[in-house]
Amino acid sequence: MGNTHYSNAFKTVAVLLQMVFLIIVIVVFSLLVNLFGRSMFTLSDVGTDSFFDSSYYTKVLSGQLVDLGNYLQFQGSREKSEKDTIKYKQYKMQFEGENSNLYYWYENGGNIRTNMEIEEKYQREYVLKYARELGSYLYYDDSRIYFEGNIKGKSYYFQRNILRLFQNSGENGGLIVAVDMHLPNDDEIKEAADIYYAYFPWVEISVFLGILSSMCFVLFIIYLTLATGRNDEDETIRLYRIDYLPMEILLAVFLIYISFLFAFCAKLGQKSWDIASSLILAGTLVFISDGVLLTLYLSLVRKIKADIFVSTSLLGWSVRTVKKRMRLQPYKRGTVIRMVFLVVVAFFFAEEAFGKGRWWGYVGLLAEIALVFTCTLSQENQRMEILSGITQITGGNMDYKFVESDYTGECRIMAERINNIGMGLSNAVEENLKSERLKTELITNVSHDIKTPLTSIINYVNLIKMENIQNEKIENYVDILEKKSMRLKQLTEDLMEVSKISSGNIELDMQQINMVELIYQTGGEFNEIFEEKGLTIITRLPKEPVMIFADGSRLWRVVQNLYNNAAKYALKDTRVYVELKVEEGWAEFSMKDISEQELETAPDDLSERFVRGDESRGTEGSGLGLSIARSLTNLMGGTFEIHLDGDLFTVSIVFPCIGFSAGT
Amino acid sequence: MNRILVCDDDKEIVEAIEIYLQQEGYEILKAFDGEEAIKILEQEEVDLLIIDVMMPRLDGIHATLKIREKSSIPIIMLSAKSEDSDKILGLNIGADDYLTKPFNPLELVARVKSQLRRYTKLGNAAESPGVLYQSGGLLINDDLKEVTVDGELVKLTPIEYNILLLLMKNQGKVFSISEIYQKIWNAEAIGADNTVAVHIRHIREKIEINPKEPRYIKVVWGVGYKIDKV
Repeated sequence: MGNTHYSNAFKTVAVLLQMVFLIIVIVVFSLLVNLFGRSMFTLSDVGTDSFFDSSYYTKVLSGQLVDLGNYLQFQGSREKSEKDTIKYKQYKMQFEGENSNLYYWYENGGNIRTNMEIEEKYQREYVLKYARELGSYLYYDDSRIYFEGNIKGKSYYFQRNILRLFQNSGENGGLIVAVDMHLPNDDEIKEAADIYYAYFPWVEISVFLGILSSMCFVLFIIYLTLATGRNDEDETIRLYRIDYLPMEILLAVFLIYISFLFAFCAKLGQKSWDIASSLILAGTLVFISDGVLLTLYLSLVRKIKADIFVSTSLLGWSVRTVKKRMRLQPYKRGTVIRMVFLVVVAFFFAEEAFGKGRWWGYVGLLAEIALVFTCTLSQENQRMEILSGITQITGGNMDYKFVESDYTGECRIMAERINNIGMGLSNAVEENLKSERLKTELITNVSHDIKTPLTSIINYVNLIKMENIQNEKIENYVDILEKKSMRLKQLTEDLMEVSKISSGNIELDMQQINMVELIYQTGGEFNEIFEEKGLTIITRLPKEPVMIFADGSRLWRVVQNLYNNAAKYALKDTRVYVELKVEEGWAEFSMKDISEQELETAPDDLSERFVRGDESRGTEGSGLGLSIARSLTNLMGGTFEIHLDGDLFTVSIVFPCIGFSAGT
Repeated sequence: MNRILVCDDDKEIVEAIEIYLQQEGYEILKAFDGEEAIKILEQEEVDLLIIDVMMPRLDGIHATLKIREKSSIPIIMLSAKSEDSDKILGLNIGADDYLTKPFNPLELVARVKSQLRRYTKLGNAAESPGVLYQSGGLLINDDLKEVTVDGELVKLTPIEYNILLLLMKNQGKVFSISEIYQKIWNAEAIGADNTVAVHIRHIREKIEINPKEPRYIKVVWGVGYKIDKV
């Protein structure tokens, strides 16, 4: 189905065309129905093109024959009522003289009546011959009860009318009716023929058009059925909002519409319409109906395609819901049995009480109500208690325990299970704490164990250095050993610190301290280290004290790590900017330097453990400095952030001020 | 000739310390656990004890406690435990100094020297004339404008001397940078300056064995500087 044409343009065209074709079909259909209704056309007329072969002619002729029959009967009777006289005159006008294309010849009891203007009108043979020459004729010989003629559908219908004329006839009765096929006179037959010839060619075209349009309509409907919901891009079925409506609603819309349509049509049918108006009306109705019905139909098709027909239906939903709700749990089966039992007992008591008026029926009923009421209330109570217990546990009180004997039924099971969960939870938390403690202990112990051999290494390396070494190589090696052993020392110390901080195993001595003082103090510690590297510290501090709440020695540790970091990694002979700003009650310490090495790490990774700005260099530091600084800052309630902008490295630490006085 | 008892369960450390101290001309006795150390102390004349904390049989803490029942010799405690609380514990039960492993051997030597000087010479210092200020091994003779640490003379610049004197006169009091500035320079502290902090560091480098772990001039971070009353 990949690249067949399901584009929206195609679909739109298909929708429009199918509608056009449907309108044609319906118009043709209503035209034909109209013609059928006037008996101007029947199915047997298909393929004939002569008026005299059509059933319309038969119908007109039979009407004429009825009139003729009446006329002939009036002629025979002596006494006529006034009404009959008028009719008689009308008939006479109809059949006698120049007005009629219909000719009759009637013989009954020796009398012959005819409107034929021929000489041999008393000789039946001649008359019959003449009638045959006229074209369309009918002949009845009463003596032989014999019919003859070339009029379609003559049979029974005519026969009855004709036989009526000979009910009390003598011998030799007979009737010849003939129609001059040239229709020289203006009478009803001529009129009918005119109408017939006016409509008939259209009928043929209409039928042809109708069949063709029906086929096209069906084709387009098939296309739309295939195309709806699909598109050229992918295989998924596109659904519209209407498609999510339950099938039952669509069905209801369909039924309501159809009933309205029928009611409307029935109302229309009460009036008579001329062909043109009825066609316009039919067209309009078809247009609307097609729109409505096609929408419903295509939605149905899409539902089936997307396989949501059942799932979106109300029936499907109800079945699913019922299934879900009614899935009987083992212990719920007991509940159902209990409920059935209670209902049965209630019926029994009710019958006894209201039916037979027995006093114990009332008592039993009341007792049952009381029982059910108490049980329900007690269960509800227990449930509420359990709920509040669960709230406590989720709120962090993991040691909360239900007294299991306080509960009955389901609630007891719940209480037991929740107790188990609570126990598991507090065990898990305890385990976690324990393992965290063990981890810290392990790191501390290992660090201690490392320190002892490290002491020997440092001592003996130093001893080697004190020997008078002539060999430059060895001197070099010893230098490396010394550096590395010092690094190892730093590393173990940092490691312990990190493990302590991360396990929360440190006590903070929080005091009011002056950040400005601390920065000056730190600056004093570092000025020579910075000078050695050609780094200039530009310090911008407020003149007034900036008081914050922190542990001074830990904050020194933080700032020390930052200064160390700058001393180690800043580009030689550059400036390092240290700034303290107070803004809206926040003290922000920041330090900016230009990194010697390209910084490839993400800012946040820099303070992650064991990551340094330059991962390649491994001479100094343990890579824990920034991590320690961040952890300590956070522990004291400050925020620690690192920004990288090219080689510009910025660290900022923010603490809330205590009663600050405006600065900068 | 001073006799020093070195006690550590790690033989190599003991030997290394022995080498360093012998180079300085001390006589060394060796012990490898607390009990052994106590035994030696009972039998021999010892001027100073270097003792490790974590040892089998009898650890350094308990050994020190026992020793202090009878003897007042200087004790330098060695330990891999670097916690402040460990140090405080060590000093509280009677150790005179506390050095964390791994230590710089030269620092150990310096501390040994300092302890011995204090132990032997301190008594005499009090006899010299003039106004004296003392904190532990730190002594200022304001008449002579002399500063000695464990009996050893330390040369300070006039400003350094004045700062130290200020702190020594007001032991236990914390001076902020601007206070020190006002008192020493007799002027308002103007703007950003590390001057005081730099001077303090210089003083520390001169009077402390390990300036990073000062015994005398303590930094109260974010507040100022002080010298503790001993």
